Amino acid sequence: MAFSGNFMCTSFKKELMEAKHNFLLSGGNTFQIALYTDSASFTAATTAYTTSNEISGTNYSAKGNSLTRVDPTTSSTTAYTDFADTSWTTATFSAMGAMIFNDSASGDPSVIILDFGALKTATAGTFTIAFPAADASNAIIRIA
Amino acid sequence: MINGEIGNVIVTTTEHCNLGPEHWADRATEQVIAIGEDAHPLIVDQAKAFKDRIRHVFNYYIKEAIKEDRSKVITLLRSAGHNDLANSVEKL
Repeated sequence: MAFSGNFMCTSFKKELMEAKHNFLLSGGNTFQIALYTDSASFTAATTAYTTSNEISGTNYSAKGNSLTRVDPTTSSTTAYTDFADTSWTTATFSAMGAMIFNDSASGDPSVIILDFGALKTATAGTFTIAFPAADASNAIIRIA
Repeated sequence: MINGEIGNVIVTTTEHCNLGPEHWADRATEQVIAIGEDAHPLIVDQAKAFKDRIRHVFNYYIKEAIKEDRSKVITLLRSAGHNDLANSVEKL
C-alpha cells in the first residue's frame, strides 16, 4: 500500500463529459487538495475523496486546502488548467501524496492523484505545494 | 485520440522557520514570466535578464508589504497596551 505515481482519475474523464466539473475562476466549483500518508493506495480507479489515510497534524483540517482556480485555456491543440500555489503555515505534519477533488459536486469526486515521491515533512513551519508552469507541456491538468 | 496528462508539483517544507520573501518572489516570477524552450538564444538571454530584474522587484515589494503589515500589528498591539509584545514584533 503506497503511492505509485500521478494519476488522472478515470471517473474524472467520464465526469468531464457529463459536465460535472467547472474550473472557471468565476463561478467554478470548489476544488480541494487533501494530503495523505503512504498507506493510501490511490490509482486511476480512485473515484472520490476519502478520509481513510488522510493525514492529521497541527494546522491541517480534513479535506485540506481550497484551491484558487485559474481559467482553463488552450495552446495549439492542448487544453489545460492551473491552480495557484497553496500552503499550510505553522504546520507540523507529513504527507506522501495528495488528492485534488471537487468539493462542490455530489460525492466529492476525485480529479487527480499526486505522488510527492517521498515523505514531505513540515515541523512548526510551512508546507507549500507549487503547481507547475501553466503551459501546454507542464500544466497540472492537460487534455491533449 | 485524446490524452489526459498531469504536471508535477513541487513540495517545499520548512522546520522551525518560514519561507522567506525570496521564495515567494521566485514563485511570483515563475508565474509571470515563462521562457520558451525553443526561443532564440539572444532572446533567452534578454528574457533571463528581465526575469532576474522582475524577481528583485518582487522581492523588494514583498519585503515592503511585510514591513507595512508588521507596522500595523505593532500599532495595534501598542494601542491595546501590549508593549512587550509590540517590542518583540518590532525586533523580528
